[in-house]
Amino acid sequence: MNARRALPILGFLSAVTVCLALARPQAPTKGAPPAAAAGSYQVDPVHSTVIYRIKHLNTSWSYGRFDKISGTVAIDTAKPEKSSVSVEIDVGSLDTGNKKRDSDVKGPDFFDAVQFPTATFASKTVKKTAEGKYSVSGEFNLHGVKKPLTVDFEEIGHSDTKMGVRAGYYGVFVIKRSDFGMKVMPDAVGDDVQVTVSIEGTQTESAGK
Amino acid sequence: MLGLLRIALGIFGPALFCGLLLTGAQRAGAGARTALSGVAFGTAWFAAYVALAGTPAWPSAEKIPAARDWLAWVVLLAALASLLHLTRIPARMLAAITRPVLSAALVVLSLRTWAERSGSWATLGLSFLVILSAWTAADRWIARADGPRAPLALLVAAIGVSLANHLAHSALLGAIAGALAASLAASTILAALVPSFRLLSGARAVIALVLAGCVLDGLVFSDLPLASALLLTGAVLAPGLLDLRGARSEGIGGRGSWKNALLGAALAFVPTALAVWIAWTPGEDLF
Repeated sequence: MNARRALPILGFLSAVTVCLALARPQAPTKGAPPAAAAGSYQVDPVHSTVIYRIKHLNTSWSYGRFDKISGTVAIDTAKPEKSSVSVEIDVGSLDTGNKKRDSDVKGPDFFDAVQFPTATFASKTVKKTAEGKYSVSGEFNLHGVKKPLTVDFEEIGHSDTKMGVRAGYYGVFVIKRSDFGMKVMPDAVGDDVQVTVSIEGTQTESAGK
Repeated sequence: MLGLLRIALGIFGPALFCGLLLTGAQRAGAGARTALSGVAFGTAWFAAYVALAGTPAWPSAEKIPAARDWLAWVVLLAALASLLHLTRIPARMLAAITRPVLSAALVVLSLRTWAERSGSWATLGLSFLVILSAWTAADRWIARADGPRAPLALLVAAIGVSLANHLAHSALLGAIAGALAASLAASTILAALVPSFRLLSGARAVIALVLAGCVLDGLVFSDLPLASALLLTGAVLAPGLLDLRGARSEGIGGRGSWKNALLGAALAFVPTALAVWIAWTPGEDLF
């Protein structure tokens, strides 16, 4: 193949490569600023998860997942203490993987979902503890009981794609169910509940606007 | 799975206390006996509640009590209200006042928050009317029933409320109804020994409130089918049908006889069994 013939083919391939590169969604960039863009974020319920685990018969972990989560996250990169988090969980959306157990756990013995349909967390103070790590203190309202709660959140990542500007956070905390008025079956079901929160937020307003 | 110690402390202990207090009250005068009957049933059940579910929540900025917490407080109020029988206020007047007041307290305190959110105020009003009517009607036949007839029939109904709630996904409501059943069992034994034994209005108030509260909570906040709730209400009223025979009842051994007691229990058993069966085989509610 001589150079004259090869030139148009190489040109075409180069054009295709450039087009594909431009069309590809922009992945979270390596070496990007560690903190998500400042602004307000709406919790994306499809890509956010709240799960818990609790001991059954002091033998194994039993898991549950809440399918409906909503809330907002306000990020202030310049003054992290001005950031805030507000999350609401639809207790009735609990799924433990077993319908009969769902009815038991959502019933009056535990979450009492008809009477107390939502669990909420609203931050009062946010402290930056390290790069991408925050200690968020606030009020947790579950089963009609309000208690102060501190959750250590870690920023998982952030991105700017066709799906908007997004930021993800992850936190794990432990509560005692008896502190929230759920005292039934202490022999069969453990008192400590480990809750894992993974939130993906979509930016609704940037700090500059 | 409540644990044997919890069952002993939460069910048998309070029932024993109730039985002993009722036995002691047999020697007292009419007013004191009525007052003590309410105190015996009310405090025994409240103690059972604390052992089984913990101290009931009191409303504050940090806590909103659940409906069952309100049930515990209203029952304690009924026990205290029974002390009014020590005064000179006529018993009939007291009953006429306490029935609507305590029924309204139970319904409003238990369902208000739920009704505000769901807009189901009609359910709240209807619940009040059904509880008040059922309590008034049950009061009429229980007041006339000597011996084991009333405690045995109500024991059957209480066991039914307990089982139906267990099957409708609330072991706790089942357990607290079971605690009342244990006290009724103790009073049945006492009635077997003392043929003139009657469930007096102080005790009747506590029994009516616990049964009504457990059925109402199961219906609204758990999965107790409406058909089961109505049948359990019917179970409390059905033994009163024996009184329709009037004077003829004396011919088969008198109102306080064991034969009458067993007939009353059988009348309570039929709707109770049906209610439990419906709760056990959930499907489309009949209504």
